[in-house]
Amino acid sequence: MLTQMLWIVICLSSCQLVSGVIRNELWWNIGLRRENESILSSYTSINADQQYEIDDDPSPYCQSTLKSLTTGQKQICLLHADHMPVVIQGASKGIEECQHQFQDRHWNCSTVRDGSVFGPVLYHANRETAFAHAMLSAGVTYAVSRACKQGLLKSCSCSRSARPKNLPRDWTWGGCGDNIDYGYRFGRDFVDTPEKEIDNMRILTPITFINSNQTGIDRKKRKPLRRGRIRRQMNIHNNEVGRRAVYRLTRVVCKCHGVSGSCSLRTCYQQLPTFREIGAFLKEKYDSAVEVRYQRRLGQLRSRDRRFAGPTKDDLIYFEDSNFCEYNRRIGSFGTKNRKCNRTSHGPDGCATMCCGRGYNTIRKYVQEKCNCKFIWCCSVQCQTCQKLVEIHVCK
Amino acid sequence: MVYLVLLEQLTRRKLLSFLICLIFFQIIYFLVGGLIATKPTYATNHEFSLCQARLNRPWIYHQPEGNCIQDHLEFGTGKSWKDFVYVMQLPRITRWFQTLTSIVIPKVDYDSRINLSSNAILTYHVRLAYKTDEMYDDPNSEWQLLVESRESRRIQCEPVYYHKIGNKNVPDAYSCESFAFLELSTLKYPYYLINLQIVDKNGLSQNIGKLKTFEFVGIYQTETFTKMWYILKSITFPIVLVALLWFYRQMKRAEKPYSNLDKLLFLLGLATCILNAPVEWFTLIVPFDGFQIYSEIRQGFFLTVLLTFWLFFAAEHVVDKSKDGTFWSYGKYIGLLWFASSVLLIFALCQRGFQLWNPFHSIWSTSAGRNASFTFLILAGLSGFIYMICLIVLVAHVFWNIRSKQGELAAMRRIRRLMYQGAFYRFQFLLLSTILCAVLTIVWYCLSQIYETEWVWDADQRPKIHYTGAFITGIYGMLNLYVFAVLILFSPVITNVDDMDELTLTDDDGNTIHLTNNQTSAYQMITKAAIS
Repeated sequence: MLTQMLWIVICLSSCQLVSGVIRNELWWNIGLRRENESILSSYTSINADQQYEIDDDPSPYCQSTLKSLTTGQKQICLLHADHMPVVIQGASKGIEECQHQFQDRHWNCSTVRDGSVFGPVLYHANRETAFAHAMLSAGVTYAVSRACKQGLLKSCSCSRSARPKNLPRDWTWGGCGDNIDYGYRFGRDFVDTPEKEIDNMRILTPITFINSNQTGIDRKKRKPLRRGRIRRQMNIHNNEVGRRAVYRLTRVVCKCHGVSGSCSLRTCYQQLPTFREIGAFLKEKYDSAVEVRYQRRLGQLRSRDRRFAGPTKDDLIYFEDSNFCEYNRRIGSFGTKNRKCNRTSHGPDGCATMCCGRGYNTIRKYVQEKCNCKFIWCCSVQCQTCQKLVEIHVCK
Repeated sequence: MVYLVLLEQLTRRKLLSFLICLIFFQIIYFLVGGLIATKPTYATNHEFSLCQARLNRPWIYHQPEGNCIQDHLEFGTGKSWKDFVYVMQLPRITRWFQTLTSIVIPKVDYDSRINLSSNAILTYHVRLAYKTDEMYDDPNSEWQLLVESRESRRIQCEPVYYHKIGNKNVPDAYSCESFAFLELSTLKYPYYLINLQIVDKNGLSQNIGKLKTFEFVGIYQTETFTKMWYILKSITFPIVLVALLWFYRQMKRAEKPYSNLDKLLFLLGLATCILNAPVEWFTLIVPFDGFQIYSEIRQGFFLTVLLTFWLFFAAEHVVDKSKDGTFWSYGKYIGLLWFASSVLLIFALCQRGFQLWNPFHSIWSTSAGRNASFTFLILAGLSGFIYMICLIVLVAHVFWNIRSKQGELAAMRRIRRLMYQGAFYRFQFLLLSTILCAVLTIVWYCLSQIYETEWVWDADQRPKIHYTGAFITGIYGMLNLYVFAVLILFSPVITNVDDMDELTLTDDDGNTIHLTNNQTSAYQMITKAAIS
């Protein structure tokens, strides 16, 4: 029995990894298509005719073009086809920002091209996964809010239909709703949907087989289910952290505009942060992420360290520690071999830290570089080409 | 005949019930603004999209069936500012929104290759277009130009650092100050479109940094508030009008010649009626460009008359004036007051007047205009300050007199004592109520300022009372009730014939003087009596 199970384990995990095909692609994949397909550009930069096509019948667009969406997300897509290019933009922005924030860390948020976006690292409930979830979720919320502000979305901006009854009194109807609130709600619906779909087991399967030591059939069956549920709970929590980051960093600015500019009348408005700011904020959250365990009695995730009260809604949570020093395909670590490092720095990009003590090689070479550039804004640039000797340090 | 005001004739009980009524109405005004209405103003923020300029398309827009091809500012594309248009389309606007005030915040990214000077001047060419509802539904209609202008604004930005890493001296972005952009005093059309292009000819718009886009913050009056406000005005207007007519009738009945104070009281009632007259309803049918000017003028007029009234009232009650020249001793202060308000009037006319022709114009954007408006405001502020000091001195003077006279009261004759007591009573009553009004205004103002800044995210945590709305309606109600009460309580009444004998003033020499001396008012008689 045990050997049989083990065989299945090996097959399941290795089959997937070797072939590089995972049954369900992760929806984050839509954010990666930017380079090879031009969905994004077709929407945002090509004229209205194409945009109109999507509106006419969104089903081919949602079913085949965006095939990495889950069933629930496809339904959202059918309802709000005009939101999808924005979501794609948000997802790719999230990935981009993740790579910017982690450029000098052991895990540098590198993507793979097999549909799983960040590779097997996502099977593990570690800090990096938590951060990636928060970042993608923040990306979607941010992009939708911003598109709202630009007036690109039909359902969020200003409508000519009758004022809904449940609308808060402050909302001017005929004017617009609250952009960030809309982005938050849409982001929650869209990003959390995969975690709430029952048949969605793609991330859970490997984690259970690899990490649990099975001794009985009953436990085997129940445990994966429960672990799956806990894992989903963690994802939902981290997604929420990302969305809340957008909320939290939104500033309220007030403007006086009474008679002769006096402050007898004052109106406040929200100002969205830059996405870089959100990335920096979530990076801080990554550094202070809380390790949690499942408390069956409460049915909640609580902080593993009993000295601290459970994670707040703004803390990223994770279960497993991670190490990305060495190459390890199973946990999705590419290792830091051949990564560039900075010889003089003492920070995380310094060679001592980056190379995990393995030392580094120094390569000297001549490169062609643009130099003596004259920049005229906007948008012309005149440069000369010169040859330059550069010294690169690369981890062993 | 002697004239007393109603205030002195009322029994304590009647007066109390009258005051309770007023307080009751005051609370209603407050609650109307706080509970029924919403925030008085509402800000929507939008972002300009950066689109490609197209030769054969005069307008670039998003809806309906937009023709904007989004673009990015990058080096090496060989483009120039002429190839880009910043596009912003306002959501549908109804006339209930009244006015649109807007500011624009430049969004500047950090790029080591692009200079951002600390006092860079951005010059842009901006066009405003409109569409009506029919045009919006008709796919063949083109946007119509409403106004176009070339403007210059100063860009002031501060670098922002998101993480504090020691050796990193590179800012992550810039945070820029907003500048005045567009002010529409009437919203005639439901759809507005703005196309903006940066002008860099002849070395304009240099060192403006990597200006990605602009954030547009439009401030409107909320629809609910406008409706509530109109209804409130329509109800208040007849009430104060009735009080004014009553005052007029009382004057006529008493056959009393108008003293200065009576005239001023009448003027105050008139100013309030002008302020209340709900002519706003017409703007819904026929939008009138100068309405905002009118609205500011009537507000200013009302406040000026009210302030004049206070000064006059206090001055009239300085019982022992050494000089007989009743008016000119404090007339210069009143002159100062009217000077201050006319300065403010000129300022408002300049600001709004220019905007009638060019809504993109801002008096603050040029240095000459800024200096002039600062001069205006400083002058007005200075005059206001002198006025306040003068008023406080006068009030203190009156109080001093009252205190010194209080001791002498017992020794006076009955009639004269009554006169004095009447004057003191009137004065103290008005002073108390004025102080109460001032305190309420300040408290409400503070409340509204505090609560507005707090941002409440969750829908269920929204405050039950909107303090800003309550502040505006509350103040409005208070001023109206104040004027109403003053008109009613200070209207003259004829005393009974029985009392008349007692109220005939006997001179120290034994001669009786009737207070119906052609030229002197009761107050002046008191003055004379006091001097003698």
